Amino acid sequence: MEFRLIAPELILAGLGLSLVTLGAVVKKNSRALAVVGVVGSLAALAVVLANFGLTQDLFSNQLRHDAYASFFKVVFLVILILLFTGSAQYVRDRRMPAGEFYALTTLATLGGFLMAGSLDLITIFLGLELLSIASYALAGLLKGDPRSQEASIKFFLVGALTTAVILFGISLLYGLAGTTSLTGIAAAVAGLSSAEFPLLAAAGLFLLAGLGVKIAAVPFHMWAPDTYDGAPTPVSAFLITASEAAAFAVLLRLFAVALPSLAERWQLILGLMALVTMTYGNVTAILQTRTKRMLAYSAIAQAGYVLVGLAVASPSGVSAVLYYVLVYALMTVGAFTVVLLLAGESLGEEIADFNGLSRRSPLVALMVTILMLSLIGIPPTAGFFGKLLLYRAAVDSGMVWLGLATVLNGVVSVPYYYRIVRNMYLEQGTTTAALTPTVPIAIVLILAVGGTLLLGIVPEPLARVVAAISLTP
Amino acid sequence: MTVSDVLFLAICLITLVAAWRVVVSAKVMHAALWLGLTFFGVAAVFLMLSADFVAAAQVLVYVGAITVLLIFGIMLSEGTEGTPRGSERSSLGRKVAPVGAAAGFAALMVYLYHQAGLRQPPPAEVATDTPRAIGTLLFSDFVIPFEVASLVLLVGMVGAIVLAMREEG
Repeated sequence: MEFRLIAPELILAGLGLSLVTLGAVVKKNSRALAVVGVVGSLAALAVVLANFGLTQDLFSNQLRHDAYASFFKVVFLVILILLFTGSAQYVRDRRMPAGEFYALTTLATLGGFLMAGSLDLITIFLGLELLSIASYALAGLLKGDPRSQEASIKFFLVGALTTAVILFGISLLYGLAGTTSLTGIAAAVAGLSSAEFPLLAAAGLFLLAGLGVKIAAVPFHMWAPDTYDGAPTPVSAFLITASEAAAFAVLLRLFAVALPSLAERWQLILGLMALVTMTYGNVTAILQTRTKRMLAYSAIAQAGYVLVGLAVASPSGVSAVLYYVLVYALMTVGAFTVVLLLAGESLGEEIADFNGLSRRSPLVALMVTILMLSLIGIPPTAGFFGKLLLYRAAVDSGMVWLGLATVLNGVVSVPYYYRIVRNMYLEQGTTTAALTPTVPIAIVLILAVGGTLLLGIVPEPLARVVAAISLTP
Repeated sequence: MTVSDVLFLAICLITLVAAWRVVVSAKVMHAALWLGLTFFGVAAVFLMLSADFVAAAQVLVYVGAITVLLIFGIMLSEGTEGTPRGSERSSLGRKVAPVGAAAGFAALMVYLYHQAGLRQPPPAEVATDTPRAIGTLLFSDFVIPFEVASLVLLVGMVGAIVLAMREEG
């Protein structure tokens, strides 16, 4: 039974190792590697879905298999499959080391699996490091591009410091509780005297700051715009979606399972962080002229929305977070795939490159419009329903101000998302040549946009699934 | 203060000063040598906590392998050995701010520890035969973290190689 439940992890580890090896053999053929990657991830996805409803502690409580972890694993694998499908051409055009790109992305995803699927700080920490170290290298894979190198080194320096901060927080928790298990910490913390409470609060703050860096929440966001902008486009998409989702998975588990006694305080702190993060991201995104940089600030703003669900931390808040994380992954991968498509003709870096896209390819323009509407949160897209869930969770638990801030921020975000739509339909482009996506990119776009629309029009099935998922063991 | 308190403080002081010199040394080679001393200091702290195996591993791996590799790396990369790192102007803010932040942080943490009152007494019986205990735990309770750690190292290695490798024609 244990091995059946960790089969997805084993598949990913095996896939990562074989991709490194294959990469050394078939150097030039990035498409073959992408096919192997997609097939392997699909196999892992099938096993995760087959095991979805099972709940069990595994390997001396180092891993925990439950619906919460399974949901995040599905999100990670959907991201991985879409990115592998769409990125083969980009990897070849930019002469990225293909084997290493696919292998590191796979192993980073495995890190995310461990973060979401463990209730023990040691395994969570190792998963975080697996994800982070792979990401540092991935961000620097465009070796001829100084901006990619800058992205990598900035990410690495901030990340290394973050590791120290997180470890310090973990060591304080271990010192107070005498255990690294989250449930054990919860039990030990309940018996702490009031004199020991400040030390516990300090531990919580260290962990919040460390994981705050990983989700690029203000005021821990300084590295994010440069890294998301400079990194190879598929890697940016991976960092914004999978890496942030993994950090959210840990934050939610950590505070809700291990530190519920700090609830009143961290709810306020997380609420304020959410407010500042979304406002800062949205206001700064308006000023950007480069597509990826705009999407980077938009990612900061969207992280702020998810933080609303964390701040609420009621069961409805948890399901809102889960719903939004999946929807956001689809929208972001879709948007970055369009950037990949335009980059194929050495466009896509500037927002002005979207000019006249409606005449070059009406279908792609329509898809981009749907993605942007969803990112703003306008019905009938999934983004609308995700925000509605977050808003309702905030209002239901008495944080009306936070719900209002979410809605107002949706309005603030209209100009920069709308600018892309306007450029596509109203501006004259430099070229009028028809734009035809390659088959893999077309598949990714159809899946991402289709998912965004489907989850917006028929949200109930997924809403029911996430409503049934609980955090507590 | 007992003898072990004094010893502990002395080791801490040496380690801290060495770590500080790693950061501020003008020459990379000096920084590497100070780093070796820092690792030794940490090993001494482990020894004082009766973690003899960890201390030995610290000396073997960090002092014996990592520092030596680092020094080899510096010697093999031409010209960097003697060159001072960057010519950053030492404004007052750059000197005071890190020291102030570190001192403030240390004071805050000492205050918090003091407030909390160290509740747990040190374990009465000192563990002996630690390698056996560690080995057993690694292959029973902590088998998953152990395996994941190997993957972390692999990813670090692949990442370092791919970033350092020359572009193929």
